[in-house]
Amino acid sequence: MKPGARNPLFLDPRIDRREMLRRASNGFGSLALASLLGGPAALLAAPAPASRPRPPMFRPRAKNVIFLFMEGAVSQVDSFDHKPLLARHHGEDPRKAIGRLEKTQFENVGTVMKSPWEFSQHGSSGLWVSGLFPHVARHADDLCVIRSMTSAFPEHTSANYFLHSGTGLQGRPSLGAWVTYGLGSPNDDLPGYVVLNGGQIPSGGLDNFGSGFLPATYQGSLLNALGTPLANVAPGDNDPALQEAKRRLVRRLNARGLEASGGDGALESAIANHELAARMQTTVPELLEIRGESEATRRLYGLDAPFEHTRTYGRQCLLARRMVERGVRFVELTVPMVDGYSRWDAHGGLVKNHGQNALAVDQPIAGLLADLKSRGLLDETLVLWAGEFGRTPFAQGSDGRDHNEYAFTVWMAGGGVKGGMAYGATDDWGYKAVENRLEMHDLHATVLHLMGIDHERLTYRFGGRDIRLTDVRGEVVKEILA
Amino acid sequence: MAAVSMAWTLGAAAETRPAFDLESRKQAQAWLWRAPERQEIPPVRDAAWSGNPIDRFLRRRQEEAGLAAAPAVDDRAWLRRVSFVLTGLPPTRDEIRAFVDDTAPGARERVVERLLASPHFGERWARHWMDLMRYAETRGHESDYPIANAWHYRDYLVRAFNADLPYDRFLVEHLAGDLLPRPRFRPGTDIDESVLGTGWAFLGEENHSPVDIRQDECERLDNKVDVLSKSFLGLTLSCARCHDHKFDPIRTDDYYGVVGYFLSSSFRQVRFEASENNRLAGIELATLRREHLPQAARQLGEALQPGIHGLAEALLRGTPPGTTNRWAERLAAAAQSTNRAHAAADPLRVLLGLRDGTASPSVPATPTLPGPRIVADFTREGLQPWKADGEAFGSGPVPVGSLLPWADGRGGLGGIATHGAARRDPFWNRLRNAAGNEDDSGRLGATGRAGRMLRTPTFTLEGGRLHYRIRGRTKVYAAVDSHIMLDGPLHGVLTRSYDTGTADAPVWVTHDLTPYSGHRVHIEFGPDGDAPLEILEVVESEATPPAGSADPLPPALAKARTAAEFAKALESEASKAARWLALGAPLPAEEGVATVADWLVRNADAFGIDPAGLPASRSLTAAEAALASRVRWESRTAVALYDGTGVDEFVLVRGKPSKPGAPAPRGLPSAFPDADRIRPADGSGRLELARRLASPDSPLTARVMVNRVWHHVFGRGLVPTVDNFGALGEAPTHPELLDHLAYRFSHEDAWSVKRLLRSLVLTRAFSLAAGPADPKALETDPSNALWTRRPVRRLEAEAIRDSLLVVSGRFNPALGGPPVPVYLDEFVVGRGRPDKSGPLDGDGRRSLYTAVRRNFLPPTQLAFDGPTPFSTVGRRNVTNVPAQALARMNDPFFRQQSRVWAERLLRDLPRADRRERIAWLFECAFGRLPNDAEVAECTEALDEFNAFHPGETDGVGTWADLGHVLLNANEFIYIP
Repeated sequence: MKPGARNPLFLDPRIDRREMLRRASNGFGSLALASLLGGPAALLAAPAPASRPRPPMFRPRAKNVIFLFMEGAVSQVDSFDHKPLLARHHGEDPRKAIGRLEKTQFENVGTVMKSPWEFSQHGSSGLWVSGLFPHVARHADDLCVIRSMTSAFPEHTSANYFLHSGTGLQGRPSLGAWVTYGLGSPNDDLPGYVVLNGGQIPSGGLDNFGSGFLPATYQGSLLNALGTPLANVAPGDNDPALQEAKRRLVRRLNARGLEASGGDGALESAIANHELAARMQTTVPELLEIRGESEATRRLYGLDAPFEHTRTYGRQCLLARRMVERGVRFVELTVPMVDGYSRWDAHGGLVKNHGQNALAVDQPIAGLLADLKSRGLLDETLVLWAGEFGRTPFAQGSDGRDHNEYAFTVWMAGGGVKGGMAYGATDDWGYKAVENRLEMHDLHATVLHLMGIDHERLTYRFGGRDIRLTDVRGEVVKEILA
Repeated sequence: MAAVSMAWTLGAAAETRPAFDLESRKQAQAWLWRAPERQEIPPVRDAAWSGNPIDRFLRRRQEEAGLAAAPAVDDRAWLRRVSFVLTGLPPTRDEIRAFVDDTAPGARERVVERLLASPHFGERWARHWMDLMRYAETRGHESDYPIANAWHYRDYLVRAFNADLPYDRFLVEHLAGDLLPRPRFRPGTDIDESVLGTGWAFLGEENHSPVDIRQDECERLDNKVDVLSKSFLGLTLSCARCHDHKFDPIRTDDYYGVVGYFLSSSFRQVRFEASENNRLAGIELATLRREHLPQAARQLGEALQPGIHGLAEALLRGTPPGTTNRWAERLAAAAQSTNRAHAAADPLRVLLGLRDGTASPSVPATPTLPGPRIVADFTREGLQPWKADGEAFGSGPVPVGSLLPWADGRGGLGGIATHGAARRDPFWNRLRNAAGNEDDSGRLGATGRAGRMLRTPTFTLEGGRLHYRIRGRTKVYAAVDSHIMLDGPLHGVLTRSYDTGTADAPVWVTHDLTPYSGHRVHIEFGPDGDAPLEILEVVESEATPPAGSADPLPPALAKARTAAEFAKALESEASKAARWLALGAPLPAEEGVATVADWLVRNADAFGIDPAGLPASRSLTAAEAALASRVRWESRTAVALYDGTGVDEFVLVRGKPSKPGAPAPRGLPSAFPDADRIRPADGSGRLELARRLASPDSPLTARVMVNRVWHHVFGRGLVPTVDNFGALGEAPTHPELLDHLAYRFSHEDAWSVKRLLRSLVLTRAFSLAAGPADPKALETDPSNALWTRRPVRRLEAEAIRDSLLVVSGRFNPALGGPPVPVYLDEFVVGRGRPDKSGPLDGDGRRSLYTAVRRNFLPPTQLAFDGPTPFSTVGRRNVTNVPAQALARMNDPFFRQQSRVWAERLLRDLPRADRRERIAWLFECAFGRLPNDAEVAECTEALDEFNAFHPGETDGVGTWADLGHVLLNANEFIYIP
């Protein structure tokens, strides 16, 4: 077997339809294939999505991922990385206090700046969390906080691509696409990789959620959390039976076209999307209909909060849980338009920017963790909280913080990670990761590992090479595995 | 390029950035920086495969790799493919018939000729180009204000591609279409086409109220440089904004060197339909005046001389020198004037002042400001570059003593310039904007100024207090940091209106721009209605200028201490002035002669002379009237560049406007061969830049363009990263072929895009099927780098919608014109939403005519990867998501057109049977006939559909259902 696209995950000895189509496209025996399956009719009978579930390589610790993308970059020294030294040297010239500084995006270096928020210890683990996240802090014993994360890019677009796809370039498959490619998705009625849009499309645009050279089926599908989720999701044919009759014919015509093309990947994806779209006409409204959720649940997520963005993010988090319940493999949340286009990007006015952003996400995230736990879903769901890089421990101007790719904090919860632990450390300033320094590929390798995927074996043949999410790097962080 | 190593490369580069070395950077991509050369056509073993040189390049590589090519598609598939590539539209059934029936040799060539000659060809390729120019008709940001008349640029593109405008010329017009000594006119007209090409520069976003106006300017300039460098050069010049380029041989000063071209140019609405007509009329007008005014002066001077004797007595005693007592009237009028203090312009008032002791002739000297910085001085010629849009201010300052026409537009000699100034010529007051021409957004009023604007050089404000010495009325715009979107809470002070009222002489007015101290600015003086306007000086000074000023009086008059002395002196000076007039030449600047002569001209009727009745004035009036009848007074306007004075940007340290470093002289990036700095003495230098880039020996220009065309024809560029030929782009799969095409394009085919396209679509490679492919090719060349096959391609968003219209028969083939408003559904929301929704079917017009409002792009176009216009997009995404299927299933437009199509079917084939109708539908939608199985399946489906349309069998509802199915089939949008 040496097809154009090779997926070594097909451990299932049964003949995989997708694989067969690929063989057909290779020219060996497309006729034989057709007869084996009983001609086009066989294809019509079972229009399986291209992303049908596939077994993992080894026992997975998590089935689903909820990626809480904190776009714009949360300051580590104001959230989860407590640095008392900053207070002692507050207002001093960082070049004297800290020493040589790396260049920053804006090069408008102010003084050493202590966190405006108090830190305190939480839970039996005594994990340090700042006053920015009072709700999340209550789940300290579920959090696995990585304080030694690094990036390689100091500006948003490249760093967003890097965080999502392991390269700082446009057009590479996103983590969600890789996971869905590796494992498929158990829900035939919803996309395997859904991006719940809270309002803020990240720098770098929808390419952050792209499938790159992977089949297009795996790209993230954007669903608006507010308003109508998706255009044209309401059926145009009043009678579902008419629509079904039409679809039967579309299916037949498409099957012939696919056969004639020798199993073209784009056509195959379009067929899968057509079926998926049809089902989404009912599943999406059903998914988004949260009136059936109890009052207590709604309050838990902050849907009654006075701050509108808390309500938005609360809705996103609640929808994320509903998706996970329905088997959506990878759910990513973008942040609401809290501070215009600034996201978490507090170049100035840190207190207001981070304060408002945290106000929007803190309670909903805590609600999500509590809800997943109470439903027994947290064990099989990996919650990943991460921005694209960190911020400087010294001020930009008077009251902001600049980009810092040398250290930032991410955390995970659920799905096979140890709770109540902090991994890695930064220097005394929170400026650079110095202990157990992690790179992006290590994070990706670990996430894949938790999903039951060996990052070195999850490959896709492209341009004559087997390409990985983790390039030639990446080590699973064993110490954080439960 | 191997994807695997990229992240590592980037990571390493970020950690240790080696010192910038231009030559070693160039060496890393040596081929790119050498001009393309003539290539030998490579020999192939299987010469019978194709004799086409382009195919030979491809075949050679396939043979080297031991790969076979896929077979060719049939005629119908080829026709559909080539129709979409060249026109973006599917072939009609008639076109299919004609091609199928054309069995003579050369049938494909004939199809290609037909398609290249189709007006729809230009629409297709204009839309491709619009992707590069981030074409939009609004300015985005909060309120999405319109870019008035932006669509003229779109229609320019359509015409340019249809006319096969040579690409080198096309490039020059984009960069410097306003500066060409001989612009290109629309055939058979004198409408300036070339200037329209510059409109792209202002199709980007504009913030209506930026807090940091200079930072905002830097973003806008960066966007222009980004679009320019990616589109024409395939370079990411913008990556050098904050530091030397990380990978390419581009230094920061190269970036700022290009920024300077835009800093040296400004925004305007140009009267492109009238500018050439008006320019020629302006020359003719000047000639007429030069011929007639001196004669009129001579005739007037001679006529006046006898009457002047006795003037003093007449004035003192009130007796008429002629037959009627005009002087009594004049004196009575002068007595009414409250303007005694500055009486120099009217000696009669001085006379009255002396008589009643309220004023003396010792008028204030021409006021000067203490320590002013002179920004512009129009009192004499040649003190600064003359930058006037249109003819309304003539061709330069009017010096003191010049013979003037009447300010109210009467013909003939109307006065003598008593001071030097830039003067608005009343001849041009009739200029009007054509009906339907859009007004500029905000307070800038560029459409009002079009063709009658005078601007100063660009300068940097020091204190910020500007003073203008003017007379008349004007609307002034201070172009601080080139900010044009004036409609927010900030920056309202940049536009001001001034009216000097009844002042006889120019006065100083103040424009306080103190908040913009340290910012660059130029000042634009525009009209205020038909009011006259004289502009003398623009200075910057902390001091407040004196209130009044006056034109100089002759010393003899100034010295007079009594009314009698004054009257006598006036008579003698008037006599002198009349003798000067009789010489028929401009009057001297000294001794106040012009002041008295002007008074004489304006009061000639008091001497019993009708100045308009002088033979020379009469003939001038007649000649001007004849000229006026040939002037194109009414015109539309379009967005365009206007050339200012040369300004170099500073290298901004780390891209920060607050940290200007050394000046970066305007010029080609230094990596270009012979990148000597090209700097004109006056103006931006864009034309020189454009000519250098459009040279056949410019290393990037031809390669980048042929690669774009290849990309659109074959689905992927020879350099796949069409907008980036630099180190971070991908290497060409066929460097020799790229150079072969580039050399032929620029050296042999006169930069003809149509010739290039003709050669590409007639290759064998273009006709290849997707499969069955050589199994070995699938294994060793999965990404099809060697073009052994042609994978299925999805149509672009516009082509999908346009196909729908052609198929249904709703297609409206009209070319050009104002945009069709966007259809507003619930997904098109936000601030600045248009008031009125357009029709669901967009009037049947092609998609490129749908309004491109940045904040209100049509959702279905976005779902099919229509680009968001923020910067150059040479290669669109081709995504595959359920939203596309949902649109085809449920979007009201798809459903509406299914019905229109079914109605057309029943109209065109009223008596046909099902099989014929099904065949008709297939041929419309897919360009082919159905096979028996398909007919059977459709027939079966028709029976099912009938059940949902009670009361009719095979009626329009049923056929619409079948049509809707075909539109939902992959084959409708995926072209084999």
